[in-house]
Order: sequence, then C-alpha cells, then structure tokens
Amino acid sequence: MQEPSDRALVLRVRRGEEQAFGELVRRYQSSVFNVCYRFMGERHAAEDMAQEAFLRAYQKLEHFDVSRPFGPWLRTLAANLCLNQHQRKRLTSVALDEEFDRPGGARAHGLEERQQQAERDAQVRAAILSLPPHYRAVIELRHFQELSYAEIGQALDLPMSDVKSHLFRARKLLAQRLGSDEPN
Amino acid sequence: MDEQVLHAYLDGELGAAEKVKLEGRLKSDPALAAKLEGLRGLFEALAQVEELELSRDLTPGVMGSLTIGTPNRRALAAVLVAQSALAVLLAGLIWPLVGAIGEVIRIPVLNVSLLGQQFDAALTGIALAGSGRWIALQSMVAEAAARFSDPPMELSGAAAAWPYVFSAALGLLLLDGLLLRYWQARRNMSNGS
Repeated sequence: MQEPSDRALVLRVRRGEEQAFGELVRRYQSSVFNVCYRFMGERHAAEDMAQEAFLRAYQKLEHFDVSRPFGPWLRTLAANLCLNQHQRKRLTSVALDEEFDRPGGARAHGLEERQQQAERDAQVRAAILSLPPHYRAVIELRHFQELSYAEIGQALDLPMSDVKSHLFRARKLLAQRLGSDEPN
Repeated sequence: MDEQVLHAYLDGELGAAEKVKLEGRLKSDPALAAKLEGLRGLFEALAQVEELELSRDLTPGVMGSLTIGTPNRRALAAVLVAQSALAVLLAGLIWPLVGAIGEVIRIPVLNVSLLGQQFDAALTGIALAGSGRWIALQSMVAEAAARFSDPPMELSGAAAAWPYVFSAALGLLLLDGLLLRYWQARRNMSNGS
C-alpha cells in the first residue's frame, strides 16, 4: 500500500486527525534532530529541541502552505527555534559530546574509513559549533537545507545583504578553524 | 574582484552574465582560481558531514505533549456542555439565596457546638486515663465549641450563598480535571504510549 504524502497527512491533521501528525514525526524526526544537533552539539539537548520543533510545527500547521514541501519548512522552523534558543540563553560556546564519532550514514563502510569520516565530521561539527549562532543559522540553512539567499532571508527575517555577509564571514571563520585553505 | 562573487558563484546565486564574466576571469587568474578551489573544499567538507542516528523515537513524547497541550475539541465541547448544565442546575438551587441578597435572613446552619460536644465525647472515650495530652486536647475542643452559639445564626443572603457558590466552582473544576484526565488517558492509550 502506498504511503500517504506529506500534504495528505498535513490536511488530515488539519481536519483533526492528530494521529496523522505522528506519521510526520516518524518521517522527519531524524532530519530535525540532526538540524538541532548541529546547533546544540549535545544529543539530549538536540532531542529536546527537536521535540519542541515538532510541537511548534503542530501549532503553526494552519499557516503552512501545502503547495510547498513540508520537510524544508519543518527543518527551517527547527533551525530558527535553535537560533532563538541560543539568543535567549546567549550561548556562544557549546560543549561537544561524544556522539559525533558515531555517524549514522552508510557512506563510510570499512572500519578505518568510518573512523576517518567520524574524525572529519567531528572537526566540521566543532567548527560549526564554534560560530556565533546567527552564523551557524545561515550555514545550516544554506549548506544543510540548501535554501537560496532569498529563502534564508525570509526564514531568518534578514535582508539579502545580511545573508550574504553572514555567509561570507561564517565561511571565513570555518575555513580558519578547519585549517583549510582560507578563501580570502 | 569582490570575494563574495566567488561565494555567490558556488551558491548558484550568480546571474548568467556575471557567471560568464567570472569564469573568463578564472581562466586567466590562477590566484582567484585557487581561492575558488579553497572555498569549494569547504563546501565539500560541509556536504560530507554525515547524519547521526536518533537514539530514541520522539513520536510518543511529541504526541503525548500534543495531548496535554491541545485538548480535543469534542472532549472540550463535552466538558462545556456538562458544565453549562451543572451551572444552570446550581443557579436554580441557589436562586432563593441570591434573591435574598441585602436582606438579613435566619438560616438553619449546623449546630457547631453540638458537633464539638460529640467530638469531645469521642475523645474522652479513647483517651487514656491520666494522659495530660488528651486532657489538653479535650479542653481546646470544648473551648472552641463554646465559641459557637446554640441558636440558628443570622446571615445575609450573600453570606449564606457564597459557600454554595464556592462549592459549585470547586465541583466544576474537579469535573474539568476528571474529564480531561479521562480523555488524556484514552488518547495515550490510542497513541500506544
């Protein structure tokens, strides 16, 4: 049997079928969690934030444009929520936990290859976490959610010029911290 | 050349004319081409970060919170209908008292001193002979009971009505709690959590 589309599930939730929202949670919990993890750097906090993101999404579901894809909308909401959380708490540095050495993807197969991949991931995650929250947000939305400049501006309520300058500065900082050839 | 152009180029945000211009420049400017490659390396490093696996299913927690945060409309309607019916019933019951607001009426309130005497007698029955603690308690009860007068008390209609109104409000709150609790338990069962 074919699985219902995201759009069909959203419409069912709007009609009062709360159970349909459970299916959306099952579908997107992993990607939402990863958005939050890149922001928070700690598994438990990221899970809590992901849960909060789903609750916000549920509350805002009436305003969601069903002609657009649900996943990017949800992940953008999660990124915004994490950003707001950081700004509220004024967290500028986040302790990394040990989780980054356990990638869940299937790209790296051999043990050694997995280890190398884990180390690279750890460095990149640490570099992202060292950025100020608003730089972290633009990196998340551009590189992980693949939003355009205009979409990032809309999501973060920023003028296009700020999006460009934030991305530019964030990437320079990342390059410095990763020790790669600095794009200067 | 503005460095941001390189970023816009890799982001796919450059217009067609600017793109052609930049690509022409890259062929003749190795330093610029090297900068672009450095930036491309960063893009690739970000693209290669793998997703982590969730250690637990978030669905039960999310659905449980929805249940607490957003009560079902049908359940709310049932609570409201039940409350309205109760409110009408209670209004009918206390109407005679409300109608007497401003007047002083004599109402048959519980004879507290009689209650006090009965409690005192009960204490005496269970007290051990010679126990100073029990004797002291008996004295306190007797004193409290003596403060109440035997004849029916005189109260205004409003004063007589408020305990009923207070009890009714408390009852309604209790009903709310019970109904919502029942509804929540049912939802949790259907959510499998």
